Amino acid sequence: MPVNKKTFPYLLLLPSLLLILLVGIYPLMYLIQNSLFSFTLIRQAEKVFVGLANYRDLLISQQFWSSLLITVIYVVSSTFITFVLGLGIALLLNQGTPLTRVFRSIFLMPMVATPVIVALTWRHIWDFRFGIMNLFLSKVGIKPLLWLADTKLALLSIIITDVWQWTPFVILVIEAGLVAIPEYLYEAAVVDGCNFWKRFWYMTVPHLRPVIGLTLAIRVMDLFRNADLVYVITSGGPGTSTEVLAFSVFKKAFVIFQIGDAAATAIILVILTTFIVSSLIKRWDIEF
Amino acid sequence: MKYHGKQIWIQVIILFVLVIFSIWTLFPFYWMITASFKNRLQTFAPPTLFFTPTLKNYTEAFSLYGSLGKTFINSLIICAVSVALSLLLGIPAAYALGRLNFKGKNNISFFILSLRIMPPVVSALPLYLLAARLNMLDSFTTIIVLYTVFNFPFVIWMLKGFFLEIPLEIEEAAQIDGCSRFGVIRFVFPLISPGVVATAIFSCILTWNEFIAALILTGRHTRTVPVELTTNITSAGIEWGKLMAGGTVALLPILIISIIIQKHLVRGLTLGAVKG
Amino acid sequence: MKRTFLIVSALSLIGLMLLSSLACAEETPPFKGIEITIPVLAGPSGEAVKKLAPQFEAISGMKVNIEILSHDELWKKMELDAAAKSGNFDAFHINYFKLDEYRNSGAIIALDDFIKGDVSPYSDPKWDDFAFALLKAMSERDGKYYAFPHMGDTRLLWYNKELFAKAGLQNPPDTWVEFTDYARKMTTPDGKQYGAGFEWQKSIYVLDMFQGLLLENGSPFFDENWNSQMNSPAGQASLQFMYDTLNKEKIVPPDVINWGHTELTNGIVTGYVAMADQWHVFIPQAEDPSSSLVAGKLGYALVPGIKQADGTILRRDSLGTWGFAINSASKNPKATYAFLEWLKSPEIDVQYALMGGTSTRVSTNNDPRVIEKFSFAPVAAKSLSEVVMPLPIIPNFTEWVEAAGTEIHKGLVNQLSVKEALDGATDISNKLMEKIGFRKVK
Repeated sequence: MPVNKKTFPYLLLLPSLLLILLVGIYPLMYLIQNSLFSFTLIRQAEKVFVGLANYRDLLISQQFWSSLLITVIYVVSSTFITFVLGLGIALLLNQGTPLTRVFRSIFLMPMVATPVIVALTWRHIWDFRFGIMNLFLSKVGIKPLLWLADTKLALLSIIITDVWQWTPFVILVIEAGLVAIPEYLYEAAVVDGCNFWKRFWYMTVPHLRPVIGLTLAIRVMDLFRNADLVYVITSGGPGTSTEVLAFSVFKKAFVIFQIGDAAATAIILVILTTFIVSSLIKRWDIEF
Repeated sequence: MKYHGKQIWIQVIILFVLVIFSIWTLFPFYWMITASFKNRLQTFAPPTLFFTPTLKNYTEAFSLYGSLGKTFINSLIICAVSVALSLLLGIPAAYALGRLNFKGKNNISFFILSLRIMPPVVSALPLYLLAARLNMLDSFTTIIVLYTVFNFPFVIWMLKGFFLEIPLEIEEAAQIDGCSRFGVIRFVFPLISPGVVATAIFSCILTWNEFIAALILTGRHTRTVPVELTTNITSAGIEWGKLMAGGTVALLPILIISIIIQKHLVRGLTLGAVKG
Repeated sequence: MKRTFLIVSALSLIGLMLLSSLACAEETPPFKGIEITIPVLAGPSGEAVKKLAPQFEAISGMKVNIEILSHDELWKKMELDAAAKSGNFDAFHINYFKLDEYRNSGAIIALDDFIKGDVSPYSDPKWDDFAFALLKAMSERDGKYYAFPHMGDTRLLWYNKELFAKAGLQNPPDTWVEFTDYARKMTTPDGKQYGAGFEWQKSIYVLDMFQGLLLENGSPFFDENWNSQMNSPAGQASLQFMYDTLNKEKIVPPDVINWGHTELTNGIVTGYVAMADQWHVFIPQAEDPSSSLVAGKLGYALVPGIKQADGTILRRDSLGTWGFAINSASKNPKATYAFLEWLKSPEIDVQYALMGGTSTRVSTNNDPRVIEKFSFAPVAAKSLSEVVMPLPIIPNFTEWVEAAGTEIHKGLVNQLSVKEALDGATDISNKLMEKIGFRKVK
């Protein structure tokens, strides 16, 4: 193939795309195919073709809809809180303090730490008896709470843990976006007598738009697909009160090994995430 | 947002809020590190500020069947090779996506990013079966190829941003000087080397910490640190001390490097978006 | 001359070497040089196996890799190995309720050919010495043996004698009524100490306790036509008892619904709970002063039961047994069999028990050395022979346990009422029994 202007970009992309086809697309094909069968992993030789029955069973099961609701609550509130908190702290950090470098280093830590260890640490922090949370509450005179053993609090605990882990990421990314805004714009605005909110709304936000969109897209994607925190901290319990869809997929695939069922759930999860993320991307004009 | 001549009390408030948030961010690490110096009984007593520290967890964690040390080497090999590979393949791809115009560019970009939509649990299962059929279980090759691809979305995304930062004129000058198309990339490369370092570190973080795929696809010879650490979760209980000792040691090297290059690291994440 | 000498000596040297190698060949153990890999569940029993393996390597010249894996990793790895027939593991370490899933799928092989063929020169398996109930649950299917019973675990009632004395109590409770009464006396209002602790985590944990009560109340999980009996009056009484213990009597810590082995052991060794319905394999840990505040202060008894109409007390609890079965994809099944047979042979089994492993052999549990080291051994042996019952042995056990165990859990944590939870569990159980063709739909 001659290397001309037209083929050159594809040539550069080819090796990556080939590997992606193998490692990224093969599993997807496997899932789509096997979502039409009913079998457990160990007896995969005795697959039974069931057509769309896995999807049908899923859509009529109460558990699916309750998981979906829990997932939506989890994703929306976690994204919202990390974003608002992250934006606020990033704006403060961007004011320039003598310790900016130190703060940045501290905020890097949750991103860098091994997620399994982080999740286990938090499981201990939420512990009813030994946990630091209840120790703190008792110091300020509040009765200890059943963070992980109360169906109403367990999801909140997971959300707070996620907020702890990922707000620093949002801070760092948005702060980097803020740094990139040319300072003379602000100076001009100050001269023109614009107040803080006006500057924020008419200058900062439009400049940050792509960064904000990127942050939201990454957060939403990760929240939908990862079940690490739920798996380690509550295993979906108590009852099924924290069973997000990604955890359902995990449970079906690797606890009860019902592969067909797991594949169907995964496909629905992937479709849902793709739909939401691509509309986010459109809405926030992110160029890829 | 910066403007000069801020009042002192505003600065104090800002500093105060940031310090509070830093404490919130740091306290789990405080617990994690102190737990690594506690004996079994101390980790399961109501928490106290002062206790008699022990180094037993560290000595035990690293002598227990001598395996944690070996898994560190495994993790290092896997990390180094897969990051190098993803850069080798990712740099040309990022250059194409960042610098050149061609049909289907946006679709390919979105396609690469959408690798991050698949739940890792489910992609690991078919890959296990595939690797088993190819007789490539418990092999470095398998896990390295997998991680190389896992790294692509971020590698390509970050590097694209760094490429976009270089003024187009430099490249044109190179072309006029008679560089071939590949030559131009070689010419531009030194200019983005801080970006490459940042990208490498970021991929390292992802690779070093990855758990689910490693759990399924590695074996006795290729086991990585996060997987090895979880063997401290036994049917007789969680060995918090040893777990946290290992966790602390695993955290340190990568944390130190990230702190050193923090500026490039974070900038790399946003460049693609800002300049895009 | 010189030359002849050289030739002669060279020839004689070769002859010597040949002779010696022949002699060697005669004594070479049959599996010398073979390498096998055995996965083992992390914990006291697993570590004992790891420590014993080098002895076998020394006598057989084999290389035995013992891979200690956490519970979750173990199942994933084994299931994937079995599905892909990759043969990375030569044996599987499975528990009794998984035996049928592995057997029906052809992942493991029957041991009878090896037993009859007497393939191993190292030991005598003495199959009739394994505890009968364990052998039944863990190995015997259609008249063949499929696994070496390895760990024999039972729950006992652990009680803190010091706290008992403080509350003016002497003997451990015999019935759940007494149990509740005692626990009330040892629960303090400040939440610092509770009368009892359980492991009532989701799925199998909570189902274990539920089955014990269900049987004591006079009903099995399924009737003879595989109709679920979970929402029968016996089932109602059982779950209601658990619900009241947690939510009404408040004699157990409020988060026991998240407790597993770890939390329960920690509860009792720190004096937080006065009684615990806990597995006996963890006793050595509770008696070790470096990891326990109550070492030497604990007593061990059979779990409480329910007084029957004839005045006797019926005690039931779930069986815990794990065994080793040979992977059908193993490249060295004979060598693997030889190792497992040696590992479970009476003399090695005693060594294993002395290291803190739980034995499945009657002779080991009655061995004076074992009893001398572990005073609780006779109670455990009694419990293993009189109290424990396996959970229903069904081919889709994992799916059933997860589904039914989650429904029951919902009832405990107020996500559903006790009745709704039991109806849900019954409904799910019936559907699953229909799916495998056990239960006929009218």
